[in-house]
Amino acid sequence: MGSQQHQSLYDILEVPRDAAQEDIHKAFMRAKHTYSPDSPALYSVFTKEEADELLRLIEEAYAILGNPRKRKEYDDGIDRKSNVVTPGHLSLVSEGTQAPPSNAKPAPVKDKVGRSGYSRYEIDDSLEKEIETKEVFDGAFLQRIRTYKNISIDQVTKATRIGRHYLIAVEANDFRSLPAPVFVRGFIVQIAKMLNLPEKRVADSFMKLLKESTQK
Amino acid sequence: MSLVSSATRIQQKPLPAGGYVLWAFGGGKGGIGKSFLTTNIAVCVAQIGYTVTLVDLDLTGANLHTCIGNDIPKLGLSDFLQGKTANLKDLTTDSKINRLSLVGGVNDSFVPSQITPENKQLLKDQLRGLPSQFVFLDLGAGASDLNAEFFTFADQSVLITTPEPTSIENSYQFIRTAFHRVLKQVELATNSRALFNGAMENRLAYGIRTPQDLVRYIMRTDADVGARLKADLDRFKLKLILNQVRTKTDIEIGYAIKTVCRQYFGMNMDFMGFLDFDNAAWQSARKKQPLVLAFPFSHLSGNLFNIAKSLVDPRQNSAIL
Repeated sequence: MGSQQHQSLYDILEVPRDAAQEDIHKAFMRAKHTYSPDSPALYSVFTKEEADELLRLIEEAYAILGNPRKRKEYDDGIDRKSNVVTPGHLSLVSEGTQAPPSNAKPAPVKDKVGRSGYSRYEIDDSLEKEIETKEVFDGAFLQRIRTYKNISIDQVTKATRIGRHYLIAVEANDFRSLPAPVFVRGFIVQIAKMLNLPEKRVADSFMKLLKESTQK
Repeated sequence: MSLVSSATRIQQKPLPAGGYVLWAFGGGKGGIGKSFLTTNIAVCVAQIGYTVTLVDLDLTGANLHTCIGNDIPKLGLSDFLQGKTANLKDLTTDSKINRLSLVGGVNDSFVPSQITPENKQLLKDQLRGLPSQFVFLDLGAGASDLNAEFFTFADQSVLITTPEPTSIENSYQFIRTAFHRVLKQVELATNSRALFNGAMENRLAYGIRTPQDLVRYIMRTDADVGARLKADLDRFKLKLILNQVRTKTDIEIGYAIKTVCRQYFGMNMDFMGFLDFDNAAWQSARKKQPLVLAFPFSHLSGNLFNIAKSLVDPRQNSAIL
């Protein structure tokens, strides 16, 4: 499947270079449906793993092409180089998920196991205390909590239906890549719920950061 | 003596520029509606104003004459393939439908392995020489070599499938066979057997999992062979019709198959449209009449006409419906 990565993002979504944003969105929805686990069209050609891999490529392609600003950057990049963008470019988008948890220090003798409803994790008292008293919840801290609680981005996507690219943008504090504030607030509330955090406090804090960033 | 009356030649529309002449209708599974669709689309095209000849290439049993309400043909393709006649025009009969004629198929226990390469070539030449503006080949079910040969030989290759997993599975098998046929042709033409064999033998090492991976490998390894392979695959005009649709979500399957075809086989496929499952289909079959004539105002008739129109004029590239 390595050869899939030599396609341009437009090829992956099967849209022309000058496609309208709406068409890109439609193509994305269609492709997601094609590679969904129970899609009849996959029967006898792609395994589940291959379909998941393709789905990942498609989501990463949409993370860039679905965002007008990133799309323009990408287009400029293509015009400068050849038509093919290597996967290294794409992996910048998902860097966040590959970062090791920052609190991977071995916890002092602890038998306490926390449960999040999606995972089990070892309780870190100091971090739990930090969470309790925390005032400012930015994307990076949310990511820290998520990895601490052993919840993957995939799990969050599946449970909340929030697009992977938006989750990554939230954790990267990439406010400009997020949709309208009313949606973002909804995202944060759902994420906070999943992470067993106080929803209002987290959402208020994050939205304040978002607002401040747009005013700069 | 030609049995095609000159009356069918009157009032024929000129072909649209870039329009295709020889179409093949195939599919992996039996009973999905190939003969039904071949016949009805042919009738639509004839009614639009072009002359059409239906050719029954289903070696498991000829049915087209029944679909259009003709008598059982006295001479058919079995006679041609056994060398009893060398002229397809002798086998062409009129139908009750204006501008539509038929070359009957095999109707006795004729074993396909008896077809010699010379006969096949003669058939191909003769198909090109038929006087009609359009020639529709109805292939039998299944992914046989013969079907793959004529499917890839045609100007336009229409694959018919239904939403059932069994049908989809057989459709991919059918495309696989057609793909391999194109590969083999290129291999022979460029004398590159070692290249292809080497690729397949070491496919794990080279990361070749899908047919598209193979094409990419060939293109990277040998530019000339790769260019020829890509050109031949691009020249293969593959169209998809989704038949016997039962639910709204079934429709998406057509687009999904198109995507999978591109990602897996590296082949472009046009999704021409879908047709609902409709009782009118079997009712018209019992009457031995094409549906578009038996039930001209049915929903299905409209859909069939739309598909026929966009097949005829490639400039109308919109997926209908």
